[in-house]
Amino acid sequence: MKLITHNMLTSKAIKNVKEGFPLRIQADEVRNVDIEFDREFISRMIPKLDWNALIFAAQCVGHQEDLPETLPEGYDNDDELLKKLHHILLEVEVINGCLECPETHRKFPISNGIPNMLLNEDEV
Amino acid sequence: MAPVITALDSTVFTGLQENNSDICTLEATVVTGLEDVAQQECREKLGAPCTVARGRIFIDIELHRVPEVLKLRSVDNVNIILKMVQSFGFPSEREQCFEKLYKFAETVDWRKGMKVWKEIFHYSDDPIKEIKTLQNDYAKPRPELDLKSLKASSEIINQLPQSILPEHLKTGGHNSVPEVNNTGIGLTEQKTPVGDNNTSDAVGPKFRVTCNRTGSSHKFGSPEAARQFGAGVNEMFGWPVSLSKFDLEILLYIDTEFVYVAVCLTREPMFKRNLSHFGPTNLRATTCYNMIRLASPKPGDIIVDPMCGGATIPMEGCLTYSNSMHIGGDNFGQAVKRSRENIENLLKKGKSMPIDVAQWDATKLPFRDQSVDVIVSDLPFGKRLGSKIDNRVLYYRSLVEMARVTRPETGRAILLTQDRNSMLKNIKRVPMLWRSSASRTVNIGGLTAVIYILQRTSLCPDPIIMAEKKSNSIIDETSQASASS
Repeated sequence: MKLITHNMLTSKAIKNVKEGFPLRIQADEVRNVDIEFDREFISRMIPKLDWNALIFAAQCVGHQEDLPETLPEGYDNDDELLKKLHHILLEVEVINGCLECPETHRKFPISNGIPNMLLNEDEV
Repeated sequence: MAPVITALDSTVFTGLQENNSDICTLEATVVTGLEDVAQQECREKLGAPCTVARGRIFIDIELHRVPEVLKLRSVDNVNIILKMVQSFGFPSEREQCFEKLYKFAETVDWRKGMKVWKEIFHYSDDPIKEIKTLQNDYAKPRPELDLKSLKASSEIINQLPQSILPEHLKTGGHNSVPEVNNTGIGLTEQKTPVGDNNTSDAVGPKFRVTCNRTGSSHKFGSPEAARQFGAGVNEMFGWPVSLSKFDLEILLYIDTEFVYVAVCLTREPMFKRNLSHFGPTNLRATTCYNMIRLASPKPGDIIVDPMCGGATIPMEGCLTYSNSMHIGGDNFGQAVKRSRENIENLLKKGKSMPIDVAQWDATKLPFRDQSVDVIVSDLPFGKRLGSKIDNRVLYYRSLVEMARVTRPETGRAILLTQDRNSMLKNIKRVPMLWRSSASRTVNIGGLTAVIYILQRTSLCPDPIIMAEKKSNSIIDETSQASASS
C-alpha cells in the first residue's frame, strides 16, 4: 500500500463511525520502490490530498522527511518539495502491518502490500 | 457501428496501389464496437490515415514506421495487406474455385509485404529467392493416370505421398492389391503442401496459410481454400509448410466475393501482454486500454476499479497513463492475491508504477467522499461470475457508492457489462447522481456486452435519502437477493 492510497482510505463504513479518517498506520515492513518522477502528476495531485493525513501517515512509517506542517504557497514551483512528495506518496510502500480506525480502533491487516478493508456483517 | 468489410472500397488504400513502394496498408484488428477508439489512438499517435471496418482498422503508413503501429495499445493483431480484391468471382464449380485460388497466389505482390515481415521478425535471409511460375495444368483431370499400371520408374511416383501408392510401387514388394482407386484424389494431394514429399528442396521460412471465410454461397470450406492457396505459395517460392511451428503466417480472408491476402506481423495477439496469473474471466488488455481511453484520464487523476479481479484494468492503465494513480480492489481474496502477483510480475520487467490494490467491498468502498476522479470497471456479467439476480442489487448499490466517492460534475464512470437489463434499470434509478452520456455495444468473447459511459451530476448522494429509496423501491429485490446470497 502506497501512502497516496492511504490518503484516501477511511473506515467510515463501520457502524457509528463519523469520519474514520485518517487511519493510523502500524508498519511492520516498509519497502522503497523506484518510480519515475512526473512533475505534472505530483503537482496536480497535491490539491486533492489531505495534508494533515499525509503528515500523519509519513510520521507513522518514519518517513516524515521534514515535510512542512502546512502546504506552502507556490508549492508547484518548489522542485525539492515535489520530489519529496513524490517519494513519500508513491515510492514508500507498506508491505506488512495494519491500519487502525481512529474511532473504534478496529484493525485492518495489511499483508503482502494489500490492505484488507472488508468488514464483517455485524460491523456495518 | 463500423461498416462491414465488404462495404469497403479498396482503392482508398494508397499502400495497395501498384507503383507505391514506400507506403503499405496495415490491418489492425480490434474488438468489435471499439474501432473508433482505435482509430482515434492511431490518428493521435501516428497521424496516419485510417479507415474503419467492423472489427478492424486499416492504416496506410510508410514502411519504416510499421514498428510504431505495433506499439499501439488498442489493437489485438497487426497484419500487412498484400492484395485486396472486391469481387473475386468465384466460379460455380468447386474444382475451378480451387484452381483460381491456387493461381491467385501469383497475382499477389509479395515483395513489399515480405520485406516488412523480414524486418519485423529479424529473419536473416531474403525469403524470396526465385519465383517459379505456376503451371497452367493445375487440377486438370488426368483420367489416363492409373496407379495400378504405373511403372516403378515413372517420375510421378516421387511426387505422390507414400500412403496412397499401391504396394508394388512402394518398396518393390509385389502385393498387387491397390489401396486407392480414385486417381483424382491422388492428384490434388500431389500439390498439397502438407506432407514431407517436398521438404528436401524446401528453403526459406516455414509458413502456413490461415483462411477466414464468411458467406454461405461458397462451394468449399476455409481449410480447403487455405490449402489451395498455400499450394500456390509453396509452388512459387518453395517455402516449407508447418502448420504449428511456422515462421510466417499468411492470412486469406474471404467474405462472399471480397478477398484479401495479408501477412501476420504479430506472433501472438497483443492483448496477452500483461497477465501472468489468470482468473476465470480476464478482459483483454487491449479492451482495458480502450475503456480507459474512453475515460480520457488527465494527469493527476485517481482512477479506481472497484471490482478489479486480476487487476487487468489498473495494470494496463498504469502502463499507458503513468501520470495517473491507478487503484484496484476486489472483495474476493484470491483475486486480490492474483492482482498482486500479476503486478509483481509486470514490475519485474521495469520500474515500479503508480498502482495499488486493496481488498474491499465495492458497495462499501473505503474511500473518502469525492476523492476519486474516474471509475473504470468490468462488472460481473452474471454468467461465469456472479448471478443476474445478485447483479440487480449489486449494480444499484455500487452505482450509489461510486457516486459517493467520485467528484461531482467531473467524475465519470466507464462500466462494462453484459447484463444490460440490470444496468439500464439501475441507471434509471439514479438519474440524480449519474448522467448516462453514451453507451456502445462491444463483442466480448462472443457475448454482446455494453460499455456505459456515465457522467457525475452536481448532486451528492444523501445517505439517508438513498437508504430510504433503497428500502422503498427495491425492498422486494433486496430480500430476494439476500436470501440467495
